[in-house]
Amino acid sequence: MKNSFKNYLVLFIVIISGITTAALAQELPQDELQVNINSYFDNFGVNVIYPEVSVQKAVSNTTSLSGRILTDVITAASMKCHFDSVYSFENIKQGIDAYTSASKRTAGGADNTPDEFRGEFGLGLTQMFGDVSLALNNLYSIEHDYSSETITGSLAVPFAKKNTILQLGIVKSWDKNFPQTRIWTAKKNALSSSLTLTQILGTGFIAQMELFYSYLNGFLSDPYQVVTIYNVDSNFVRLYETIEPSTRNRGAAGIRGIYRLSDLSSLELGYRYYTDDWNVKSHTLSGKYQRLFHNNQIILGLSDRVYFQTKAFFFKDIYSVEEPYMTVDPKLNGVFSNEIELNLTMNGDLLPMINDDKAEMSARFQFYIRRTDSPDWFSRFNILYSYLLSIGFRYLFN
Amino acid sequence: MAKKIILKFIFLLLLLLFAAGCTTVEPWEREGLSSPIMILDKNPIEKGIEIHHIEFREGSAGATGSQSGGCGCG
Repeated sequence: MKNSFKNYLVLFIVIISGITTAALAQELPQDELQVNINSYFDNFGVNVIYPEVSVQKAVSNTTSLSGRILTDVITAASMKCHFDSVYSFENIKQGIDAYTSASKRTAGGADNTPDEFRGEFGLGLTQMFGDVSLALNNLYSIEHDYSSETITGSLAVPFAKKNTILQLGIVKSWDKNFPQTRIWTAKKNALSSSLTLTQILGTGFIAQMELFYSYLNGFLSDPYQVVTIYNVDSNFVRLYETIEPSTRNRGAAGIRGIYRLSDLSSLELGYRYYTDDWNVKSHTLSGKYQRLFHNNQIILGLSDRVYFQTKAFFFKDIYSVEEPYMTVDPKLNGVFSNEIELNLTMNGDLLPMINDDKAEMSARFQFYIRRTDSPDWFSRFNILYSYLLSIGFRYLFN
Repeated sequence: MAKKIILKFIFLLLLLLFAAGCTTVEPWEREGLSSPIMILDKNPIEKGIEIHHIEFREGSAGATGSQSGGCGCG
């Protein structure tokens, strides 16, 4: 699979290198301040509120800086459970929630107060080199049992009077996992690359194609999930840690297009194929309809996303004997999901008290439903459904 | 094997389709493309949040697209 993707990439680069025409100048990102308040609620009892603030400001004609702060506030009291019988190490904190790793009720958690916080901080730089733009970002995320540092780089090259944009992205991350139920720290590293081609195909049609490859190594399991082995013959039940392979090669290819239906409406359609060496394969279909109202000051969008996934080769609903790899992670099960989104964006000129066309308000509502081939290891539900609500404010400085 | 050949064929076809469109639209003909409803991922921050939600619940990743200017300026 890895070699196959390499071949595609080489082929892709060779063909693209043949496209040589004059290019116009790229532009820096707009100077803006953006505040978003996002929330998530599901039938497994997990609630998350996460406000986010980001700012983008040009410091010269060719350089722009950005900063970003995000906080997750998680309340999942109804998911509280205990795995004290599974792990009996000394000098470890016990009484940890399985899904969020927050403290359970008897160990300081509660139904109506947040159980866990995560902070994420980002800094970015966009630099123009003539027609080419280079963007570098650094992200750092920290919580009580997990930390992650990520560096991203992106190079965008326009061709053919901006009819074609070729973008190369690289992401490298270093994660540390120090679960509350263990005395060790485990590392996980990931290196991802992507190649994106955006192409104008007509006066009302833009298409985009992307290839993605990622390599992960290290501790890839979830330390809070528990595998139950039930052997009918010997009539015993034992609990084990999940064991997943220590490397993973992931590849994906996606294509999408946005078509102008009229002066006031557009339709976006997309397809993505994913495969990895854990034998997870997936197909994603998506569609989005957008329409302008009120002298182009209101955008209303409706989208749908359908997803099918096969299970990992070592995933089993029930394990009867100890195996080299064992997992109960629902992400590695066979999955069908559907997500419907309704979004509204309104120019600030229409907003009472603001009355500024440089401002923009947005609201999003998403309903997500996921059905797995077998019941969830903890809740025993086959179906997860969740609601996502977001409200955003954006202000352009120029 | 046949599946791989078909995939390669589709891949080549798509590349040719992209390449063929390179110079068809002049900058002054892009008025219709500059509309906010013609931008792929108009708000990358919101897109990032959406991807975060999905990747936490599904086993795949990547190739979710990147922002494009409606005028095709990336």
